[in-house]
Amino acid sequence: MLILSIKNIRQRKFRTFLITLAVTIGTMSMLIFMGLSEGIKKATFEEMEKNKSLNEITVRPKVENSKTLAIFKAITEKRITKTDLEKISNIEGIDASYPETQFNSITSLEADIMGFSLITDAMLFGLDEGYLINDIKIKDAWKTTSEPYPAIISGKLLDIYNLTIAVPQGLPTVSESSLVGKEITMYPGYSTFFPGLQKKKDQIKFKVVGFSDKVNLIGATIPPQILHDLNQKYSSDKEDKFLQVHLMANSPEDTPKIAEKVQELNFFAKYLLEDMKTVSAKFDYLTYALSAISLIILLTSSLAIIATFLAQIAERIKELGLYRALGARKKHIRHLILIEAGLIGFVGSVFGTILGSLISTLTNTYISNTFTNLDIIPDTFIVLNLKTFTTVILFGTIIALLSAYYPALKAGKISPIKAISK
Amino acid sequence: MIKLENVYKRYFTGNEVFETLEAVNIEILEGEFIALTGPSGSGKSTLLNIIGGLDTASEGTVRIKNKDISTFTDEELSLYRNTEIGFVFQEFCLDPFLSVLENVLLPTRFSKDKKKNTEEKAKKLLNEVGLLAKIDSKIKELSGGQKQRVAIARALINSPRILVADEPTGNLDTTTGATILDLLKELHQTHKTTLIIATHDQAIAEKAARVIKIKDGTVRSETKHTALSETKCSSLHSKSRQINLKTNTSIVEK
Repeated sequence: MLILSIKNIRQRKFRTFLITLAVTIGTMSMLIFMGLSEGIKKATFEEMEKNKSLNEITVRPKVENSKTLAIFKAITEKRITKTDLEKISNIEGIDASYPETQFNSITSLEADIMGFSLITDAMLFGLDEGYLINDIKIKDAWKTTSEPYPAIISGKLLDIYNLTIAVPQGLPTVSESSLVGKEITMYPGYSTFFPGLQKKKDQIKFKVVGFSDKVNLIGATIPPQILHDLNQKYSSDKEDKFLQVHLMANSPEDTPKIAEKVQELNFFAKYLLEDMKTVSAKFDYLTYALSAISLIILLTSSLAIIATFLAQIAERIKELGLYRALGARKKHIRHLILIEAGLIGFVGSVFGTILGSLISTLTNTYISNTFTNLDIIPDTFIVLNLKTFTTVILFGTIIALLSAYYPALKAGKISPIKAISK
Repeated sequence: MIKLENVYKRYFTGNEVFETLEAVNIEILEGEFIALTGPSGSGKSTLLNIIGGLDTASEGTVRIKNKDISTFTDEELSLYRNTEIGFVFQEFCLDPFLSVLENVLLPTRFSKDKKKNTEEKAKKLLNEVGLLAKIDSKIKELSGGQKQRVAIARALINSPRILVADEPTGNLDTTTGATILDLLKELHQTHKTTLIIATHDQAIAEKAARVIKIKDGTVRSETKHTALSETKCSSLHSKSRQINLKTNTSIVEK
C-alpha cells in the first residue's frame, strides 16, 4: 500500500502541491505562534531572573490588605528590626543575608542626561556590595568613602527613559555603558513637589558605578555605611531601619522551606520559583489563546485538505474501483488515502517548520539589530525548541490524517461495478 | 464448480423495476471454456459480473465450489475476487500511473497472504504473454493488444480458478483480437483455469467448448462444441435435452 501511495503522491503533483501548501501554511503559523508564546515566556522569566536570582528570598514586613502599596506602607508603618534580622538570618539553609536600609528624610537627585538637566524627588537605599557585586562596573568603587560616593541606578530607569522620552521624541537612546561614571547631585531636605521644602541647602555628589535590575526603581542605591552617615547628619530619625532583607539560600530548592519559616516569623516572603509558577500559570492563557489561533489556521488548512481529497476521489473513482475489482478491501482503499494524507501531512509539516524557523530567525535578527539599546526587547523574540518542532510536525500530520478520514471513508464505499462500468 | 440457481438481477429506477436477469440457471464445470453470447443489453455482462463477485444477485444462489457467494460479506467478496477470479475487461482497465510490471503485480498488493516471488511470477506471466521486453514501460506507450496482454497477465497473477473476460477483443482490430483470443485459450489450458468470456462475436463464441446464449436476461440456448471440449462435459441442468450428433454439437433449447 505504501508503494501505491507514494506512486500516487508523485503522479498527482498538483494535488500533492495543494495539500502540502495547506499543511505548510498551517504548521508554519502554528510554529511561529508557539515560538512567540515561548519567547515571551522566556523573556519574562529572564527578566525576572535579572531582578532576583533563583535562590533569593525577599523578606518584607507583613502589610494587610495591600499589595501594590505594600512597600510604602512598610516604610511608614512597619519595619524589620535588628532583632528580627537576627532571627531571619539564623534560619537554616541561608548562605547570606543582605538587609536594605533607606534614607529617612526627603531628598532630590539631579543629573544631566544628553544635555538636559533632570531633577526629581527620589529615595536613597543602602545595600551591601555582596548583593550587587556583578553590577558594579568600577572596581572597588563600593569601598569609596569620599565624594563622589558610588551609586547604583535601576536599569529599568534607562528603559523608561528610552521608551517614553528618547524614542517618541526622536532623541538618541542612552546605554548603560555611556552613563557609568556620570555624576549625580543629591539635595538633602529639598523637594521638587512640596512648596515648603524648595530650598537647596547642601549638595552631595555621587558617581554612577553601574546599573542593576535588583535595586529599587525610585532612586539610587549606595553603600549602607554612607547611607548610615547621611541619616546621622540629615535625618531626624537617625536609626537604621530595614526596608527589606534579601536572603540567599544555599540552593533554589531550599527557597520554599526558608520562605515558609520566614512566614512563621510573621513576615512576608517572596521567591522566584513561586513567582515563576504564578507567571507560568498566567502564561498558559496566552499559550491557549495563541494555540486557538493556530488551530483556526490549521482547521482552515484542514478544510482545504478535505476539499482537495474529495475532489481527487471523485476523479479517481475508476482507479479506486479497479483496485476494488482486483480484490482490494474497503480498508485497503481507506489505508491508501490515509497513507497518502499522512505522508503529505508529514512532509508539509516538515516544510512548515523549516519555513517557520527561517521566518523566526529573520524576525529575531531584525528585532535584535533594530532595537539594540532597548533591553526590554528580548534578543530572541521567537523561541523554537525540539518540543515545538515535534508538536508542530505531529499536529500537522494528525490534522492531515483527520482531514482525509472522511474522504477515505467515502473512497472505501466506491462500488467496483459502478466504477468499472463508468 | 459454478452453479447459478434461479438467479435474478433487478435494478430500480424510481418506481420502475428493470429485470436484467431472470431465473437464470447455469452450471459450469472446472476447467471449462464457456462463451456467454447475446446482443448488447442481453444481460451477459451482468451475469459475468455476478459470477466474478463484482455484483450481487437480487435473488437466487450463486455457488462457487459449493459456497454461496451471494451471502458473502463485502470483505469475503473482495477476497474471492482477489484469489479466485481473474478479470479481463474490454477497456483493459490498467492503472496508467503504474508500469507494466506494477500493473501485473497490482492484485498481489491486496492479497491477505503476501506470497514470495510474486515479481518472478509476474515476469514469467509477462514472458508468456510476450511482453517481457516491455516490463518497465508505461501503459500509454503500449498498443491496444499489448494493453490487453498486460491485463491477461494481471488476471493470472494470483493463480485464480476462474478467468472472466468481458468482450476482451471489443476494443481491438480483428487480427489482434484473434491473437488475444488464442492467447486466452492457450493460457486457460496451461493454467487449467475455467474461462468464461462474454461476447457478441460469433467467431469468438465458436472457439468455446460451450456457448450459452442469453437474450432479455434469460438463457435461451446452450450449444456444446464437443470436438473442442477437452475437459469434462458440463452436466446441463435442463429438464429437456436434445442431442444433435450430426453437427457434432449438442443444443439445448430452453
